[in-house]
Amino acid sequence: MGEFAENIERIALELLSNLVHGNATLSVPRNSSGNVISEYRRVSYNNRGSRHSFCVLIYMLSRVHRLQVRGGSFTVRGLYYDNPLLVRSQSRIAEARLDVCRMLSTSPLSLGILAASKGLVAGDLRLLMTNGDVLDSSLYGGPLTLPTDPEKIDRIETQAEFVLIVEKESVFESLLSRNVFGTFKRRFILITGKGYPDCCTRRIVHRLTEENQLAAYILVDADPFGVEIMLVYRHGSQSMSFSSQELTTPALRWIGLHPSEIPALGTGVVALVAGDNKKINDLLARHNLEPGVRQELRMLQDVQLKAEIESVIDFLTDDYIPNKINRNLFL
Amino acid sequence: MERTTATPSPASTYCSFLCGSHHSPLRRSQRLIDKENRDVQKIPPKNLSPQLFGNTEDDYSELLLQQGKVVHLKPAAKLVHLRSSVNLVHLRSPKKVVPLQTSNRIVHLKPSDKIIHLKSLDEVEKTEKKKYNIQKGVHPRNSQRKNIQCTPKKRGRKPKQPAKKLQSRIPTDHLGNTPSPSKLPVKYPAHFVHQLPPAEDSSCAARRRSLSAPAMQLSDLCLTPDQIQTPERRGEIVNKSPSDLDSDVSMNISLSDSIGEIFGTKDISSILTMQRPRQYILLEEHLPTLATMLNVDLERLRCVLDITQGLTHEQILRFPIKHEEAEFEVS
Repeated sequence: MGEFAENIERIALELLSNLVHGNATLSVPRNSSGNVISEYRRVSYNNRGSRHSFCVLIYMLSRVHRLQVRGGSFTVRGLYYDNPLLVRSQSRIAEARLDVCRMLSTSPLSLGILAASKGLVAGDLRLLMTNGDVLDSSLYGGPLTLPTDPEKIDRIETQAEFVLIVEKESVFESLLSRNVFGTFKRRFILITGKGYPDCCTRRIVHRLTEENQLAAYILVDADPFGVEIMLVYRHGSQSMSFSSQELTTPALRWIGLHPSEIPALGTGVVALVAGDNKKINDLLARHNLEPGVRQELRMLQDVQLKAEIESVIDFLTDDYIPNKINRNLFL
Repeated sequence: MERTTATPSPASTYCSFLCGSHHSPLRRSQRLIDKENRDVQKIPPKNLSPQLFGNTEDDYSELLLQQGKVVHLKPAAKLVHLRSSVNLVHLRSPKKVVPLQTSNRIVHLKPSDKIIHLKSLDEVEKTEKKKYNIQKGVHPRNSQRKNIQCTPKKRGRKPKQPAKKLQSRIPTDHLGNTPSPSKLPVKYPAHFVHQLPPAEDSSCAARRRSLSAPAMQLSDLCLTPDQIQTPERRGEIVNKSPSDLDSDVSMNISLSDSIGEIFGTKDISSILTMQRPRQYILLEEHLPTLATMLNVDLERLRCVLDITQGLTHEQILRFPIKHEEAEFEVS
């Protein structure tokens, strides 16, 4: 039996011992930046406000335990449809999934809880699956959807020199339509997580940099949300800060759009709104921010302007990206 | 474009257009007549409605426009150089841009047969001033550029249409760079710790020699506004535009050196006796110095350059050099 199953059983035993005293409470660690968990959130059946959350959490723990014992995987959506009356909404089950992950200090992927993959990939990449299947992106000119369970990828084969992540699917499609692989003189893999990346996309980026030793570059909008997306790839998401080691790419190179370029862009520049400024402040409050990123965020705060990748789309493939990479203009 | 390529001459295009335009209104008129015949009996078939006449006139005017387009497009199809000269046209005064004539176009198509009067960055600075109001103290380089004042007066060459184009170029200068083959700034802020200078491409080394240097350097090399803003300059022609992308611009401080580089000789007298029309590039700031060196009035020199600039290729070729000298008393 695996470590996770044992941990779940230990949690169940503690709960039973507390039930003897009339206390049906589960302690869920709060997100913490480090490995040391200092704060817990109490989810109790005794409390009318958290009673439903308690039930869904127990349901989720039982399903995860069964998963660990019998093997396999399931999706959050599938879990919801198994018992919609109990779960009530997908957001509830999604939150319970994160709570279980927090309690076990692991990622949903490790537990076998999957979500529909939204990542797209193109370029020189061959995914050799554990069942013998081969997903060959190099043979197919268009985008390939990343497999839902990246752990079922046995090996990644590629002749690429680097990975290029773009924030948006529209930019991804635009690059493909502009024959980006023909324009570049170097082989590379193009990936998009369609905005905030899912675990699968981040896991594959992580594996490409760790297992295949590829440099990874990222191109996001020059706005606080673009910066945050970059940080999700680099350091993991804030909501899953407890277990991001296998999903992060700390060596990720941010090649643009940099807020310091906004004055040079001229066109496609938009004023920041209140939400943007709040996000900037939130980001600046993070302690693990690199000095360069912090500098760029301050610059964003100063100019009070933001720009999207589309503002440089005309010279993206033949000028912007190659020069950014060749001149090491990354943060 | 299709019409242009499909028809052998503008005349035939005109005719075909004319025929086409007649068919459509007649059909419409027929429909109207039929409709009116149903309501009111006996309406003469030739009695076309004012609306139809109006349409026909529009079609005629459109045809005339199309005809003009045909004439303009023809040389473009013939000579590939036009593309570069289009850029060049944008940078020049709108006076030259708007009334494009076929003969003028020929001059533009042969870069060696034209005189380019390269203006200073005053207009750029003027637009930048507006930006400064928004981005005050945003970028370290901005503070340096604050020292550069705009020359206030503009006589007769105020840009009309190219303003937008200009604006799109100006921001490139914001980080302190002239427009270059790469739209990326030559130098990024210091927190880009890995940054490398733009790579020198051997194939376009000659081009980059003049283009890769940042605008800040250029402005440093040029006379500062304090130096050039003399009382007599207030009434002079200011035809400010950023450096030409497709021209060789000398970055040397020494005027004689730059003259030697442009004309192939430092001998002013031999330069003035133009044996054949060729490409001259002159920075606006150098004009007063050049006028002093040649011992001619600045306004006179400017007039000579302006008039020469307005000449067509044929006119220049047939222009007796003696006559030119006598007329303008250059030497």
